[in-house]
This record gives sequence, C-alpha cells and structure tokens, in this order.
Amino acid sequence: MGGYLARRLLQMVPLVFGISVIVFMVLVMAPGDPVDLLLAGNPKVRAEDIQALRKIYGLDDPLHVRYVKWLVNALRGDFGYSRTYKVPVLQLVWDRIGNSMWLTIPSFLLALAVAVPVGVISALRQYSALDYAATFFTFFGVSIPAFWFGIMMIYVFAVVLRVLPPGGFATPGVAPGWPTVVDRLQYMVLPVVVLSLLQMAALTRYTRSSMLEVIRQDYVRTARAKGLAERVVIGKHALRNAMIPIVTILALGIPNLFAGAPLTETVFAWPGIGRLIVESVGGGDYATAQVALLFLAVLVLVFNLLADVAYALLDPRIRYD
Amino acid sequence: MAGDVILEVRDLVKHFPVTKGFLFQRSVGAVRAVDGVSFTVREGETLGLVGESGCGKTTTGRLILRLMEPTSGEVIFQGHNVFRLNKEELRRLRRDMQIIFQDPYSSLNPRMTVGDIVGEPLEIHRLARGREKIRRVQELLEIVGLSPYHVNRYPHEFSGGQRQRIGIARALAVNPKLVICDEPVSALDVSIQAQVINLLEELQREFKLTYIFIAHDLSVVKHISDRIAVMYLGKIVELAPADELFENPQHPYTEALLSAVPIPDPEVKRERIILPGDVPSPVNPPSGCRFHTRCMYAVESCRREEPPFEEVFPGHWVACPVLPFRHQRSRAAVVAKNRTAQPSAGLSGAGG
Repeated sequence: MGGYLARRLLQMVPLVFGISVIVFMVLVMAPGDPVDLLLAGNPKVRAEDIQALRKIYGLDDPLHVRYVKWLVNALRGDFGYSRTYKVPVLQLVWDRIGNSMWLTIPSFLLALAVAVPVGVISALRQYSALDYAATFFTFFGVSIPAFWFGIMMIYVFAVVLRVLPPGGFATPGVAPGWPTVVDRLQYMVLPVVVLSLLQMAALTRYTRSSMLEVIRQDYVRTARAKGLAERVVIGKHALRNAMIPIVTILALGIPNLFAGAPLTETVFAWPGIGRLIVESVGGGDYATAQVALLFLAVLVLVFNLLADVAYALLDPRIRYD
Repeated sequence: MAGDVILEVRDLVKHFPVTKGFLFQRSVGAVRAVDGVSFTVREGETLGLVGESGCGKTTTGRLILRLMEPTSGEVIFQGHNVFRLNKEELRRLRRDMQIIFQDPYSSLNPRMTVGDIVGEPLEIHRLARGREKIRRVQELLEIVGLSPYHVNRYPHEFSGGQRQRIGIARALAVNPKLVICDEPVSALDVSIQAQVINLLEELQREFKLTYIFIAHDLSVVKHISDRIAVMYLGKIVELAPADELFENPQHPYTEALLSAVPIPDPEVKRERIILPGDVPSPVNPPSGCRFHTRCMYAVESCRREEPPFEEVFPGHWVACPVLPFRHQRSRAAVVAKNRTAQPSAGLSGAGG
C-alpha cells in the first residue's frame, strides 16, 4: 500500500504540470488580454502606450516564454499578485477556499445525512409510496439547474416570505459571538440547500441501487440464518457492503461540490472560490484564475486517489501493491 | 438408529405472485414453487430431497428455516410450529436449526474475517465472547479441517472447498440439532465433493446431527441419505428408504431420474429413459398428476385426478395410482422391454 501511494503521488506531478499548461493556454487564448480590458472604452490611449503596457506586463513575450516565467516563479512559491484585488494570489485563493468551505462542508454533510437513510429505506421498501416519492425527488434534484433553483429559493424565502437574506456572507456591524454565528447560519441556509440538492439526489440514487443489489446477496441470507436481528442484518452485513461503491462516489463528489459552487456562489453572492473563478476569468485576472483552476484540478486528483485508497481499505478483496 | 420425530412438515405451500402492469401492478398468477409438501424427519437420520432445478426443493429448505414466509402449511420442529414463533423465539430456533448454503462463494460476507463469520453466531446467541469465542472458532475450524490460524483471513483467500468448510463451521457453531444442507457440494469440484460429504458424515456421527440433504445429484444423495424424497414441480412424488428407492422405484419420474445416474463401468449398458418435453411451467402446472404430460404410463384419469400419496410398501410412499395397483402388468412389460432386466421384485406385495 505504501509503495502504491508513493507511485500514485509521483504520477500526480506530471499530471499537475500538464493541467497547468492547458489551463494557462486556455486562459491566454481567450480573446481580450488584461490590457484590452483595462483600456476598453478609453479613446485617449495611444497605441504606443498599449505596447508599453504590454511590455511591462510581459504580455508581448511568446506563449512558451510566458508559461516558463510563470512556472519558475510558481516553483519558487510566487504565484503573483491578483490584478483585481491587489493581494498575493495565494492568500486570496486560500481565503476564498475557506469561505467556500462554509458551504461545501455543510452541504456535503446534509446530502449524506439525507441521502443514505432515504436510499436505504427506499431499497428496503422497494416500490412503496416512499420509494416512489424518493425517486421523484431524485429526478427533480438531478434535472433542475442549480442557478434556477437558487433564484426560486431566493424569491420564495427572501422576497416573498422575507425570512432569510437573499445573498451575501454576513450582515455588517453584527456583534461578535453568538449574533455572528446566528447571522452566518442565516446566510448559509439557502446556498447550502441548493448546493447539496444535486449531490443529495445522486447519492440517494446510488445508495438505493447499491443497497438493492446487496440485500439480495446470499451472505445477507446467511446473516438471517445465523439468527441476527434484522437491524443488524441491514446495518452491519448489508449496509457495510453497500457503502463500498458509495464511498467512492462520495470522494469523487467533494471536488464536484467545489466545481459546482461557481453557479451557486454567484447566485447567492457568496465570496467563495467558485465566484472568484468566475470573476477572475471574466476580468482577465490571469494569475488568480490560473491558481484557482489549478486548485480544482488538484482537488479532483487528490480525491480520486482517496477514493481508490478508501476502496482498498473497505473491501478486503482489493489490495494494491 | 433413527429416533423420535424431530421435524414434521405438513402440507407446505409457497406461491410467488407473478405481477404485471406499469404503475398499477396486478397479480396475474403465481409460481407454485412448493405446492403441498409433507414429510417427517427423525432424529439422527438424513433425509435426501432430490429433483430437477426449479422443482421447489431449495424453497422447501428455506421455508423449514422460515427464511421466507409460507403461503400456507405447518412446520413443526421439536413440538413448536415454526411459523407461529415470534421474533425472539425465531432467533432461538436458529440455534437448533441451521443451513449450509449451496454457493460457498456468495454466501460468505466478503467484508468479514473467518473469525467474525464463524464467531458471530456464538456472540449473538450468547454462547461465547472475547477470547473464549476465538478459541471456540479455532476449534471449529480444526473440526472442519481448516487451520486455527485461518481466523484472521478473509473468505476470498480460500478455495471453494475451503469456503464450504467455513460455511459448515459457521452452521455448526451454535451446536444445531438439525442442519439443512442446500446442495452443499453442487458448486464444488467432484474431487472436493467427496471430501466435503465425508466431512458431513463424520460430523453427523460425532455431533448426532440430523440432516435434510437437498441435491440434484442422485449418487451423492444415495451415498449420504437414509431416506430419499423425490420432488417434481413442487410436490413430493415418492419417498422411500434410500436403498429401496434405488432398487425398487415406483414412480415413473423416479425411474427416469435413476436411469440418468451414470454407472462407473463402461461395460455396463443401460437404457436411459428419456422423458419427452420439458418440465411444465410452475405458473400453470398440469392438472391432475403433474407428471402426466411426460409420463409414458399415463392414462386418462391421470389428467383429472390428483394422485394420493400412499404407502405401497412399508415406509415407501408414492403418488401414482396407475403403477402399483391398476397397471402392474403393463408396467412390468414396459420395464422389461426398456431395461431387459427382470421386473421389479415385490410388486405383487403392493398394497401393504
């Protein structure tokens, strides 16, 4: 297992390089560089000034030179400054990841807390009213676009009922301590629900089908023949086997939560990593976009590895060496 | 050697509904997997239960253990009706009645070690725990021919025969009185089959076990059974002591089955009785005697009347009104023609 881990981690290095090249090229090839955006609509700027600015920012170098410059600096730990926010990119991205976690972790837990029990009961009572209701809910969850659902939630709870704030992160001037916590929770409710919906729906579906498969296995009948209580048969023998594929899906779902955040965070004006990506790409803030996108890529790689490791830990039949 | 009646099965019926339709399902019929099965088992004996795939023998085994609920009928085990037990009593029943499953690959939980698989029954029935449990598990593993150090291994690390031994150890852990062996060797290589069957026989002697041995392989069943019941389409058609059944089969289906048993001697030739057609669907079993569609002796009444299950010789029961009584001579003639052997002895003594 140790050797396997080391090999997988080593494999990640060239992968991250490759991804950084692709991200860099895609960003640079998009029409409109920072200078264009900076000077857009300003008729007084002369062509020479534009050339001079391009030279200062290093935008007139060939692509590969620009990439190598970025890479060399990045390897030294210098990811550059955000043009928009005037702070080091690393610090900016780090802060925004922290903000995003306020949404991703609760929505992950919410999805898990709802999906697993609902999926299990759905499987145990297949074709019951509850199962049909859960199936309907999951189709609703996977097919509804997050931004539309978000706007509807804002309309109902913030505009019509006026019980929750329509967006944002915190009310200015709230006293520290309990009031801040309560305030933050109010802002979290809607985005957390919207963000977890898709994950919840997919997870319910997977839990149900995995459970349906497992409860028909012979070893579940063996467990009953032993004289185990039904609760133990389901909880220990069936669920633990059903969870093997689920854990993989969970591990792969976490990067999805971050990747799904741009829409939700934009709708709810949440200052997280998702909105930072949208803003920096749109605003030509290359240094920031590069690091933020790279973060998502690394997240996918890391959780892929975690999923494989979890698989081996949970299923004794699988051994890596 | 057989003692008191330990198990009595009375008119056991299991129908699986066949449903049809989208959104609104309606029942359009039933698979009559088990359709009125009765027999008794005495302490210390082995009752063989044979028949083709789908004849209901496995379902019968699972019903006896109440691993599924019956449509109707009774199973009396040691004086108690198994189907009337509440949850707690049912759990206690599992100590006295165990099952060895057919497929040693799928019937062991892949996420549990051998120690957990075999030890779990000890724990839940409060027979042993902690170090005592481990010691008992190791002892059981030795009894079934595995090594004590196997306790920490997982099922996938064993071969099919070894896994079946784990299944046997698991069943024996609670010191059961009756063990239902549901085709325990069908999934194993022939060379391994003999080992496992010998093991089962040794265990029976040592622990005074009673077996219901379900199989489709007649030579295996003959070897291990004291009495054999033959099933066809959810019903028992013949029940007799093992030797008697093989030497003096009364039901035409039994006769056909026996003719399919290979003889380990290339010099001996036997006329096989090839039954015409396939087993009819258990959803719409034939009227009257279920075997009449494929029976070479069938007469008109077979189509209409369900044959009674009658004792034609001491301990030899058969559900075929045609053969033993009314058409003895014509049957003897057919048998003579088919087998070029002497007509079965003792037919004249029928009706005893």
